[in-house]
Amino acid sequence: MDQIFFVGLVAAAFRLATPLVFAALGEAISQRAGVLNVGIEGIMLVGAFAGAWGSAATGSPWLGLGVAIAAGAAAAAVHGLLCLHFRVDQIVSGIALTVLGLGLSGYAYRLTLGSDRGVAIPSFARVDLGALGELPVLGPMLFQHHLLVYVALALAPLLWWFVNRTGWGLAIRACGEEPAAAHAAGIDVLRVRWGCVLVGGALAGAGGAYLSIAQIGNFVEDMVAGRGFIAIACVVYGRWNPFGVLLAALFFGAADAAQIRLQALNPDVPYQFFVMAPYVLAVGALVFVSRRSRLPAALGRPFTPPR
Amino acid sequence: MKRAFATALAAAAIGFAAPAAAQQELKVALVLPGPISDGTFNSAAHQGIKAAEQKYKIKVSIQENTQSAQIEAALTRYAREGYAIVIGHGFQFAEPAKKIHKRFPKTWFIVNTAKVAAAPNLASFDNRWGDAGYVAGAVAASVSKTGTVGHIGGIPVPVIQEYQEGFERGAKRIRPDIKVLTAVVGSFSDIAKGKEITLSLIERGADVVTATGNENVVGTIQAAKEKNVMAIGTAFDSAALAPETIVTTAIIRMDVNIDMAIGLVSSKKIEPKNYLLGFKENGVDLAPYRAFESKISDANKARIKQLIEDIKAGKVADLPKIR
Repeated sequence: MDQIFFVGLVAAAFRLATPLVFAALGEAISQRAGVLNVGIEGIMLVGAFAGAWGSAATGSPWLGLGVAIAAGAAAAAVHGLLCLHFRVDQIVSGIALTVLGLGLSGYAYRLTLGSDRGVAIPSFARVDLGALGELPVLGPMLFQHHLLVYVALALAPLLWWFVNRTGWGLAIRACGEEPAAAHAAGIDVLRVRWGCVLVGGALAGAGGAYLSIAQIGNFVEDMVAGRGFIAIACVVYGRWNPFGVLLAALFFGAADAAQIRLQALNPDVPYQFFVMAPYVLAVGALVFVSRRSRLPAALGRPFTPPR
Repeated sequence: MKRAFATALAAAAIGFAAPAAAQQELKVALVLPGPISDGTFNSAAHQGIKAAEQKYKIKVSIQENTQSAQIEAALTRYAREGYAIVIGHGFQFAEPAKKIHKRFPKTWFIVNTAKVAAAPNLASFDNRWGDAGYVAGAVAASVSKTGTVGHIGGIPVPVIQEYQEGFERGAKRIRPDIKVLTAVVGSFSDIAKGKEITLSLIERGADVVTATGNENVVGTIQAAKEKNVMAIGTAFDSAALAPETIVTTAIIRMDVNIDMAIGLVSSKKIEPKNYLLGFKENGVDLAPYRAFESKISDANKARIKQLIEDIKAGKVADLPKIR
């Protein structure tokens, strides 16, 4: 393994992992409160579109990111309304959200940006970390990324501290494990779950926006291309722990970065072998991990406060 | 003013009446696998049908984003509604069309970018993607400074494999020692991975890249733009996206396919066979060099022009086989 290969691989791993980190951390928070959202693929698409649209409309990628976060939360509110208010099955609602997000983002794109091909979508520039970025080897690997990459990395410890070391975090965990007991202790379970669903949606929206206004600077239909589902795998693989989730996302990013490089170096091996490798790893890891992991006890179960 | 209006009205009335009496309006359905906004494969078909709408007396219906499992139902529905021409855009339409065409003898089923045909009413139009790739490879080898060029395919369906094979051979024709790197995204819509995979080829020294597929092509152009290397577009001329990056585009004239199909059905000259269109038939073309006009030597330009003439005349021996 030569140096160009390794440096490129590590840098690409961070870029490929970032949308997963955002979405998976959001999903982890939602699941810790007991709400399974399999619709993050759709939310990420909504976020990707909203980010591009907001950025083009305002001329600022930051405002675009804000629009994406708001749109992600709004899309998640549909899930919240269906699951928390109308007590619809969470899987069914999530699947509906996936399909809705795909259609909605594609349609909205065509009504707005898609009908005007010349429109510029302002995008985040890479942060200039001065001397750090100039370092040999380490510079290109670690210090030449978009700001959102570092935001994603910083989110993990922040959320870990929030979930494990604060009163609010305790309330969230209680709602995911023993909602009846949480209710008896005076916690408004539905309100906590609503909050976590919205935060989860906001983060998935940010993950989608990373794709559209940092990595690419463009929106295309179905550009999330399955990352929402890999993010759910990251949550299980990371055992609902923000640090674990971060590691899982980085692992998938690295696996993908490796497969695209190995492909070009091994033209004689059928390409399918490389393309499917990260997914094979995902399935294999899940089989292995799920035997020893325990999911939040009340995950996927609706809660009605006793009267 | 009033008189002008009346005259215009009368003219319009005559204008509408005459052809309607002579020829009945044909109903044409275009079934697409993706969105008309993809900027490449589906956009090209959409552009083609729009042009045909102007040219022929037809009524057009378009269905986008058709998943493989929905194809048969979509084709059947249009045939049942009495559409004279049902065009499936993509090789995945071949099998479903083959399965149902006999049940609707009044409808012509046309499959684009496939090689299927069956009596009495199933024909297909395809382009010589391999020849397009051959010329693209020749251009790439002519402008490359590092001696390494790359091709990134979305999913290696037959036409993409033909393009890749052509790209390699065309590049080697100009420069036998050239290194051609290839990779596959595994998706047509994953623009981010299309970009990453292109960056990995640029890391390995490629200074001219080309890509085939749908939106993934945009990712390749982006990566080339970011890293200041050259790109060769495919299928749909989108030089405006990155005028400083795109040397030229190996255009697949899917609008010509559609125009020809509708024209042949209108004139009742169509036969149940595969129509294969290359440079000679105007089904494949090379876009102007535009911003690169001054950056490519006259000798190289003449060489490419001669190559296209040789292909038209059937004088190039190692063009890729049609799969």
